[in-house]
Amino acid sequence: MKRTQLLAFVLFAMTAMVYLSCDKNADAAASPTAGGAGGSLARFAIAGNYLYIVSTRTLEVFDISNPEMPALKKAVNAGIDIETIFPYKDKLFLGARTGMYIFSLADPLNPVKEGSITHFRACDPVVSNDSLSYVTLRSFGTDCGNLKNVLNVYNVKNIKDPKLINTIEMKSPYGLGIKDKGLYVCEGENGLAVMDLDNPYSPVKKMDFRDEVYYDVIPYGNVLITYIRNGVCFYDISNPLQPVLLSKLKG
Amino acid sequence: MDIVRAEAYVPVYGIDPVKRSVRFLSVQPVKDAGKIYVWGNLLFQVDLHKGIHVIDYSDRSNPQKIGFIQVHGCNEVAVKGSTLITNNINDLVTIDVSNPAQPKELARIKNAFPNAYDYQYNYQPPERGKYYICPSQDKGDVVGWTIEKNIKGANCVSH
Repeated sequence: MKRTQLLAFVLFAMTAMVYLSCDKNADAAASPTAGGAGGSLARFAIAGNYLYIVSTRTLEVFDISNPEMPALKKAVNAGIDIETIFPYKDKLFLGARTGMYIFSLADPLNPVKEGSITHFRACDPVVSNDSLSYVTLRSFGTDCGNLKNVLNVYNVKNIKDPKLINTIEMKSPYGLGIKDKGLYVCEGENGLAVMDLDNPYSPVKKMDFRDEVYYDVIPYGNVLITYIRNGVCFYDISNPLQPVLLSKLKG
Repeated sequence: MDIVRAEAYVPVYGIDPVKRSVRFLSVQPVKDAGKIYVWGNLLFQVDLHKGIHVIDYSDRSNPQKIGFIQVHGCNEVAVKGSTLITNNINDLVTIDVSNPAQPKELARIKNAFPNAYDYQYNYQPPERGKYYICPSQDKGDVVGWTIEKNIKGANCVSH
Protein backbone atom coordinates (compact mmCIF):
# COMPACT_ATOMS: atom_id res chain seq x y z
CA MET A 1 0.00 0.00 0.00
CA LYS A 2 2.71 2.38 1.05
CA ARG A 3 4.71 1.58 -2.04
CA THR A 4 1.71 2.03 -4.33
CA GLN A 5 1.03 5.45 -2.87
CA LEU A 6 4.62 6.48 -3.21
CA LEU A 7 4.67 5.34 -6.83
CA ALA A 8 1.44 7.18 -7.43
CA PHE A 9 2.89 10.32 -5.92
CA VAL A 10 6.00 10.09 -8.06
CA LEU A 11 3.89 9.55 -11.16
CA PHE A 12 1.87 12.61 -10.36
CA ALA A 13 4.93 14.69 -9.63
CA MET A 14 6.35 13.69 -13.00
CA THR A 15 3.40 15.19 -14.82
CA ALA A 16 4.36 18.53 -13.38
CA MET A 17 7.80 18.42 -14.93
CA VAL A 18 8.53 20.67 -17.83
CA TYR A 19 10.65 18.22 -19.73
CA LEU A 20 8.27 15.29 -19.60
CA SER A 21 5.20 15.17 -21.75
CA CYS A 22 4.14 11.56 -21.60
CA ASP A 23 0.37 11.33 -21.71
CA LYS A 24 0.35 7.93 -20.02
CA ASN A 25 1.69 9.49 -16.88
CA ALA A 26 -0.86 12.23 -17.11
CA ASP A 27 -3.70 9.72 -17.37
CA ALA A 28 -2.38 7.82 -14.38
CA ALA A 29 -2.39 11.02 -12.37
CA ALA A 30 -6.03 11.62 -13.22
CA SER A 31 -7.16 8.24 -11.92
CA PRO A 32 -8.63 8.13 -8.43
CA THR A 33 -5.77 6.07 -7.00
CA ALA A 34 -2.98 8.28 -8.22
CA GLY A 35 -2.56 10.65 -5.31
CA GLY A 36 -3.58 14.15 -4.47
CA ALA A 37 -2.45 17.65 -5.15
CA GLY A 38 -2.93 21.09 -3.72
CA GLY A 39 -2.63 24.56 -5.15
CA SER A 40 0.41 26.80 -5.02
CA LEU A 41 -1.09 29.03 -2.32
CA ALA A 42 -1.23 26.20 0.21
CA ARG A 43 0.33 26.14 3.64
CA PHE A 44 -0.20 22.36 3.87
CA ALA A 45 1.74 19.87 1.75
CA ILE A 46 1.77 16.08 1.87
CA ALA A 47 4.77 13.97 0.89
CA GLY A 48 4.75 10.25 1.67
CA ASN A 49 3.47 9.70 5.18
CA TYR A 50 4.14 13.23 6.29
CA LEU A 51 2.21 16.46 6.36
CA TYR A 52 4.36 19.58 6.13
CA ILE A 53 2.90 22.83 7.36
CA VAL A 54 4.35 26.30 7.12
CA SER A 55 3.47 28.92 9.65
CA THR A 56 4.97 32.39 9.47
CA ARG A 57 8.38 31.30 10.67
CA THR A 58 8.41 27.54 11.04
CA LEU A 59 8.14 24.38 9.01
CA GLU A 60 6.37 21.62 10.93
CA VAL A 61 6.37 17.91 10.23
CA PHE A 62 3.38 15.75 11.20
CA ASP A 63 3.39 11.98 10.86
CA ILE A 64 0.03 11.08 9.30
CA SER A 65 0.68 7.40 8.61
CA ASN A 66 -2.03 6.64 11.14
CA PRO A 67 -4.79 9.20 10.51
CA GLU A 68 -6.33 8.34 13.87
CA MET A 69 -3.14 9.39 15.61
CA PRO A 70 -1.43 12.24 13.76
CA ALA A 71 1.66 13.39 15.61
CA LEU A 72 3.85 16.47 15.49
CA LYS A 73 7.38 15.19 14.91
CA LYS A 74 9.45 18.25 14.28
CA ALA A 75 9.34 22.04 14.06
CA VAL A 76 12.15 23.71 12.15
CA ASN A 77 12.93 27.41 12.09
CA ALA A 78 12.48 28.13 8.43
CA GLY A 79 12.64 31.85 7.78
CA ILE A 80 10.38 34.86 8.05
CA ASP A 81 6.99 35.77 6.61
CA ILE A 82 6.52 32.36 4.98
CA GLU A 83 3.26 32.06 3.05
CA THR A 84 3.31 28.96 0.82
CA ILE A 85 4.76 25.48 0.46
CA PHE A 86 5.12 23.42 -2.70
CA PRO A 87 6.30 19.78 -2.61
CA TYR A 88 8.27 18.44 -5.54
CA LYS A 89 9.94 15.02 -5.42
CA ASP A 90 12.30 15.07 -2.44
CA LYS A 91 12.18 18.81 -2.01
CA LEU A 92 9.97 21.47 -0.49
CA PHE A 93 9.84 24.96 -1.96
CA LEU A 94 8.74 27.62 0.50
CA GLY A 95 7.52 31.00 -0.67
CA ALA A 96 8.07 33.88 1.72
CA ARG A 97 7.49 37.59 1.38
CA THR A 98 11.19 38.24 1.04
CA GLY A 99 12.44 35.15 -0.72
CA MET A 100 12.29 31.46 -1.55
CA TYR A 101 13.64 28.66 0.62
CA ILE A 102 14.43 25.15 -0.61
CA PHE A 103 14.37 22.22 1.82
CA SER A 104 15.65 18.73 1.15
CA LEU A 105 13.51 15.78 2.24
CA ALA A 106 16.30 13.23 1.91
CA ASP A 107 15.29 12.43 5.48
CA PRO A 108 11.55 13.16 5.44
CA LEU A 109 11.46 13.60 9.21
CA ASN A 110 14.24 16.14 9.17
CA PRO A 111 13.82 18.71 6.41
CA VAL A 112 17.05 20.57 5.87
CA LYS A 113 17.31 24.03 4.37
CA GLU A 114 19.62 23.61 1.39
CA GLY A 115 19.29 26.90 -0.37
CA SER A 116 17.54 30.22 -0.48
CA ILE A 117 17.35 33.37 -2.53
CA THR A 118 15.93 36.74 -1.61
CA HIS A 119 13.75 39.00 -3.68
CA PHE A 120 11.95 42.28 -3.18
CA ARG A 121 9.12 42.22 -0.70
CA ALA A 122 5.90 40.80 -2.20
CA CYS A 123 3.34 38.02 -1.91
CA ASP A 124 4.87 35.02 -3.57
CA PRO A 125 3.78 31.46 -4.32
CA VAL A 126 6.25 29.15 -6.06
CA VAL A 127 6.11 26.07 -8.27
CA SER A 128 9.09 24.09 -9.43
CA ASN A 129 10.54 21.22 -11.41
CA ASP A 130 14.00 19.63 -11.44
CA SER A 131 15.84 22.61 -12.71
CA LEU A 132 13.64 25.68 -12.60
CA SER A 133 11.40 27.41 -10.11
CA TYR A 134 8.69 29.86 -11.12
CA VAL A 135 7.70 32.43 -8.54
CA THR A 136 5.04 35.09 -8.81
CA LEU A 137 5.57 38.29 -6.90
CA ARG A 138 2.47 40.36 -6.40
CA SER A 139 2.25 43.76 -4.87
CA PHE A 140 -1.04 44.78 -6.47
CA GLY A 141 -3.78 45.08 -3.86
CA THR A 142 -1.64 43.85 -0.98
CA ASP A 143 0.33 45.09 1.96
CA CYS A 144 3.14 42.77 0.87
CA GLY A 145 5.52 45.31 -0.54
CA ASN A 146 6.24 47.70 -3.35
CA LEU A 147 4.67 48.28 -6.74
CA LYS A 148 6.08 45.45 -8.82
CA ASN A 149 4.13 42.49 -10.20
CA VAL A 150 6.32 39.91 -11.87
CA LEU A 151 7.00 36.27 -12.64
CA ASN A 152 10.55 35.31 -11.69
CA VAL A 153 12.39 32.31 -13.11
CA TYR A 154 15.12 30.77 -10.96
CA ASN A 155 17.66 28.14 -11.91
CA VAL A 156 17.58 25.63 -9.04
CA LYS A 157 19.70 22.86 -10.54
CA ASN A 158 22.12 23.59 -7.76
CA ILE A 159 19.66 24.05 -4.93
CA LYS A 160 22.37 25.37 -2.67
CA ASP A 161 22.74 28.35 -4.97
CA PRO A 162 19.53 29.33 -6.79
CA LYS A 163 20.02 31.96 -9.47
CA LEU A 164 17.54 34.47 -10.85
CA ILE A 165 17.59 34.10 -14.62
CA ASN A 166 14.55 36.01 -15.83
CA THR A 167 11.84 38.42 -14.74
CA ILE A 168 8.60 38.84 -16.66
CA GLU A 169 6.13 41.65 -16.03
CA MET A 170 2.67 40.54 -14.93
CA LYS A 171 -0.44 42.43 -13.86
CA SER A 172 -1.53 40.99 -10.50
CA PRO A 173 -0.19 37.43 -10.22
CA TYR A 174 -1.47 34.95 -7.59
CA GLY A 175 -1.12 31.15 -7.78
CA LEU A 176 0.47 29.24 -10.62
CA GLY A 177 0.98 25.73 -11.98
CA ILE A 178 2.89 23.77 -14.65
CA LYS A 179 1.82 21.05 -17.10
CA ASP A 180 4.47 20.11 -19.65
CA LYS A 181 5.03 23.25 -21.70
CA GLY A 182 2.09 25.07 -20.17
CA LEU A 183 2.54 27.50 -17.31
CA TYR A 184 -0.72 28.83 -15.84
CA VAL A 185 -0.58 32.05 -13.90
CA CYS A 186 -3.65 33.34 -12.08
CA GLU A 187 -3.92 37.10 -12.40
CA GLY A 188 -6.85 37.73 -10.05
CA GLU A 189 -9.15 40.35 -11.62
CA ASN A 190 -6.98 40.13 -14.72
CA GLY A 191 -7.91 36.53 -15.45
CA LEU A 192 -5.84 33.42 -16.12
CA ALA A 193 -2.70 33.69 -18.25
CA VAL A 194 -1.53 30.68 -20.27
CA MET A 195 2.21 30.86 -20.89
CA ASP A 196 4.39 28.81 -23.23
CA LEU A 197 7.48 27.19 -21.71
CA ASP A 198 8.95 26.13 -25.04
CA ASN A 199 11.94 28.06 -23.82
CA PRO A 200 11.56 27.30 -20.11
CA TYR A 201 13.83 30.20 -19.16
CA SER A 202 11.60 32.63 -20.92
CA PRO A 203 7.84 31.99 -20.56
CA VAL A 204 5.77 33.74 -23.23
CA LYS A 205 2.09 34.55 -22.78
CA LYS A 206 -0.01 32.74 -25.38
CA MET A 207 -3.56 33.51 -24.35
CA ASP A 208 -5.69 34.38 -21.39
CA PHE A 209 -9.16 33.87 -19.95
CA ARG A 210 -10.81 37.01 -18.64
CA ASP A 211 -14.15 35.51 -17.68
CA GLU A 212 -13.49 35.07 -13.95
CA VAL A 213 -11.32 36.25 -11.08
CA TYR A 214 -8.64 33.54 -10.85
CA TYR A 215 -6.61 32.84 -7.70
CA ASP A 216 -4.98 29.42 -8.00
CA VAL A 217 -4.64 26.31 -10.16
CA ILE A 218 -3.94 22.61 -9.85
CA PRO A 219 -2.83 20.90 -13.06
CA TYR A 220 -3.99 17.32 -12.42
CA GLY A 221 -3.38 14.94 -15.27
CA ASN A 222 -5.28 16.34 -18.21
CA VAL A 223 -7.49 18.55 -16.08
CA LEU A 224 -6.68 22.04 -14.91
CA ILE A 225 -8.63 22.82 -11.77
CA THR A 226 -8.89 26.51 -11.02
CA TYR A 227 -9.96 28.29 -7.87
CA ILE A 228 -11.95 31.37 -8.78
CA ARG A 229 -13.60 34.06 -6.67
CA ASN A 230 -16.85 32.20 -6.09
CA GLY A 231 -16.03 28.58 -6.84
CA VAL A 232 -14.05 26.48 -9.30
CA CYS A 233 -13.61 25.97 -13.06
CA PHE A 234 -12.34 22.89 -14.88
CA TYR A 235 -10.32 22.98 -18.10
CA ASP A 236 -9.14 20.19 -20.35
CA ILE A 237 -5.39 20.59 -20.85
CA SER A 238 -4.69 17.60 -23.10
CA ASN A 239 -3.06 20.32 -25.14
CA PRO A 240 -1.42 22.29 -22.35
CA LEU A 241 -1.22 25.48 -24.39
CA GLN A 242 -4.86 25.37 -25.46
CA PRO A 243 -6.99 24.86 -22.35
CA VAL A 244 -10.61 24.10 -23.16
CA LEU A 245 -13.28 25.01 -20.62
CA LEU A 246 -15.10 21.90 -19.36
CA SER A 247 -17.33 23.36 -16.66
CA LYS A 248 -17.77 25.86 -13.87
CA LEU A 249 -19.19 25.36 -10.41
CA LYS A 250 -20.04 28.68 -8.82
CA GLY A 251 -22.04 29.96 -5.87
CA MET B 1 2.74 56.19 23.86
CA ASP B 2 -0.47 54.33 24.39
CA ILE B 3 -3.49 56.44 25.11
CA VAL B 4 -5.28 55.55 28.34
CA ARG B 5 -9.05 55.41 27.82
CA ALA B 6 -11.33 56.10 30.74
CA GLU B 7 -13.47 53.18 29.66
CA ALA B 8 -13.13 50.52 26.94
CA TYR B 9 -14.21 47.06 25.96
CA VAL B 10 -11.74 44.23 26.56
CA PRO B 11 -12.08 40.81 24.92
CA VAL B 12 -12.45 37.76 27.15
CA TYR B 13 -10.54 34.80 25.77
CA GLY B 14 -11.31 31.15 26.18
CA ILE B 15 -12.06 28.03 24.21
CA ASP B 16 -15.53 27.77 22.76
CA PRO B 17 -16.30 24.02 22.58
CA VAL B 18 -19.10 24.60 20.08
CA LYS B 19 -16.52 25.89 17.63
CA ARG B 20 -14.23 22.91 18.26
CA SER B 21 -16.49 20.38 16.59
CA VAL B 22 -16.78 19.34 13.00
CA ARG B 23 -20.26 18.94 11.54
CA PHE B 24 -21.42 17.47 8.30
CA LEU B 25 -24.01 19.35 6.37
CA SER B 26 -25.80 19.05 3.09
CA VAL B 27 -24.62 21.10 0.11
CA GLN B 28 -24.06 24.77 1.00
CA PRO B 29 -23.73 27.87 -1.17
CA VAL B 30 -20.21 29.25 -1.65
CA LYS B 31 -19.72 32.32 0.54
CA ASP B 32 -16.01 33.04 0.48
CA ALA B 33 -14.24 30.56 -1.81
CA GLY B 34 -10.81 29.44 -0.62
CA LYS B 35 -8.01 27.00 -1.29
CA ILE B 36 -8.48 23.73 -3.15
CA TYR B 37 -7.12 20.19 -2.91
CA VAL B 38 -7.83 17.33 -5.30
CA TRP B 39 -7.78 13.58 -4.77
CA GLY B 40 -8.91 11.46 -7.69
CA ASN B 41 -12.41 12.51 -8.67
CA LEU B 42 -13.02 14.47 -5.50
CA LEU B 43 -12.23 18.14 -5.12
CA PHE B 44 -12.26 19.91 -1.77
CA GLN B 45 -12.63 23.68 -1.54
CA VAL B 46 -12.31 25.72 1.62
CA ASP B 47 -15.01 28.25 2.38
CA LEU B 48 -12.94 30.65 4.40
CA HIS B 49 -13.42 30.19 8.15
CA LYS B 50 -16.62 28.20 7.59
CA GLY B 51 -15.72 24.78 6.25
CA ILE B 52 -15.03 22.68 3.18
CA HIS B 53 -17.15 21.99 0.11
CA VAL B 54 -16.90 18.42 -1.17
CA ILE B 55 -17.18 18.27 -4.95
CA ASP B 56 -17.51 15.16 -7.11
CA TYR B 57 -16.20 16.01 -10.56
CA SER B 58 -16.08 12.49 -12.03
CA ASP B 59 -18.21 13.98 -14.79
CA ARG B 60 -15.81 16.73 -15.84
CA SER B 61 -18.50 18.65 -17.67
CA ASN B 62 -20.98 18.45 -14.80
CA PRO B 63 -19.26 18.63 -11.40
CA GLN B 64 -21.55 18.41 -8.36
CA LYS B 65 -21.24 19.53 -4.78
CA ILE B 66 -22.08 16.53 -2.61
CA GLY B 67 -21.77 17.97 0.88
CA PHE B 68 -20.18 20.45 3.23
CA ILE B 69 -17.89 19.84 6.18
CA GLN B 70 -18.47 22.64 8.68
CA VAL B 71 -15.15 23.56 10.29
CA HIS B 72 -14.95 26.85 12.19
CA GLY B 73 -11.94 29.01 11.42
CA CYS B 74 -10.77 26.77 8.62
CA ASN B 75 -8.19 28.05 6.10
CA GLU B 76 -6.35 24.99 4.80
CA VAL B 77 -7.09 21.56 3.40
CA ALA B 78 -5.04 18.56 2.28
CA VAL B 79 -6.06 14.98 1.51
CA LYS B 80 -4.25 11.66 1.57
CA GLY B 81 -6.28 8.66 0.52
CA SER B 82 -9.46 8.69 2.54
CA THR B 83 -8.13 11.15 5.11
CA LEU B 84 -8.75 14.87 4.96
CA ILE B 85 -6.66 17.20 7.09
CA THR B 86 -7.64 20.73 7.98
CA ASN B 87 -7.44 23.33 10.71
CA ASN B 88 -10.38 23.88 13.03
CA ILE B 89 -9.30 27.33 14.20
CA ASN B 90 -6.09 26.38 16.04
CA ASP B 91 -6.62 22.60 16.11
CA LEU B 92 -5.38 20.17 13.49
CA VAL B 93 -8.11 17.67 12.65
CA THR B 94 -8.16 14.53 10.54
CA ILE B 95 -11.43 13.47 8.94
CA ASP B 96 -12.31 10.18 7.28
CA VAL B 97 -13.83 10.88 3.85
CA SER B 98 -13.92 7.29 2.59
CA ASN B 99 -17.65 7.88 2.28
CA PRO B 100 -17.42 11.50 1.18
CA ALA B 101 -21.12 12.08 1.76
CA GLN B 102 -20.73 11.07 5.42
CA PRO B 103 -17.34 12.16 6.69
CA LYS B 104 -16.32 11.57 10.29
CA GLU B 105 -13.77 13.14 12.59
CA LEU B 106 -10.86 10.82 13.41
CA ALA B 107 -8.44 12.80 15.52
CA ARG B 108 -7.59 16.25 16.77
CA ILE B 109 -4.36 17.89 17.88
CA LYS B 110 -5.27 20.82 20.08
CA ASN B 111 -3.55 24.15 19.58
CA ALA B 112 -1.37 22.93 16.72
CA PHE B 113 -1.58 26.43 15.22
CA PRO B 114 -1.20 29.02 17.99
CA ASN B 115 -1.64 31.97 15.60
CA ALA B 116 -4.80 30.78 13.92
CA TYR B 117 -7.22 33.37 15.24
CA ASP B 118 -6.88 35.71 12.28
CA TYR B 119 -10.60 35.59 11.59
CA GLN B 120 -11.30 37.26 14.93
CA TYR B 121 -10.00 40.59 13.68
CA ASN B 122 -13.54 41.44 12.76
CA TYR B 123 -15.02 40.57 16.13
CA GLN B 124 -16.43 43.61 17.85
CA PRO B 125 -18.09 44.43 21.14
CA PRO B 126 -21.90 44.49 21.23
CA GLU B 127 -22.14 48.29 21.37
CA ARG B 128 -21.35 50.66 18.49
CA GLY B 129 -18.98 53.62 18.59
CA LYS B 130 -16.94 52.32 21.53
CA TYR B 131 -13.22 51.91 21.94
CA TYR B 132 -12.02 48.34 22.39
CA ILE B 133 -8.87 46.27 22.41
CA CYS B 134 -8.55 44.53 19.03
CA PRO B 135 -8.76 40.74 19.46
CA SER B 136 -5.39 39.01 19.52
CA GLN B 137 -4.42 36.34 16.99
CA ASP B 138 -3.01 33.98 19.57
CA LYS B 139 -4.94 34.15 22.83
CA GLY B 140 -7.96 31.99 22.09
CA ASP B 141 -11.58 32.42 21.06
CA VAL B 142 -13.27 35.67 21.98
CA VAL B 143 -16.02 34.30 24.22
CA GLY B 144 -17.22 37.64 25.57
CA TRP B 145 -16.42 41.27 26.37
CA THR B 146 -16.01 43.23 29.57
CA ILE B 147 -16.04 47.00 30.07
CA GLU B 148 -13.02 48.13 32.03
CA LYS B 149 -11.68 51.44 33.24
CA ASN B 150 -8.33 53.14 32.54
CA ILE B 151 -7.45 50.87 29.66
CA LYS B 152 -4.35 51.20 27.48
CA GLY B 153 -4.17 50.01 23.87
CA ALA B 154 -7.90 50.16 23.14
CA ASN B 155 -7.30 51.57 19.68
CA CYS B 156 -10.16 49.96 17.77
CA VAL B 157 -13.58 51.57 17.46
CA SER B 158 -16.70 49.46 16.99
CA HIS B 159 -19.01 50.32 14.09
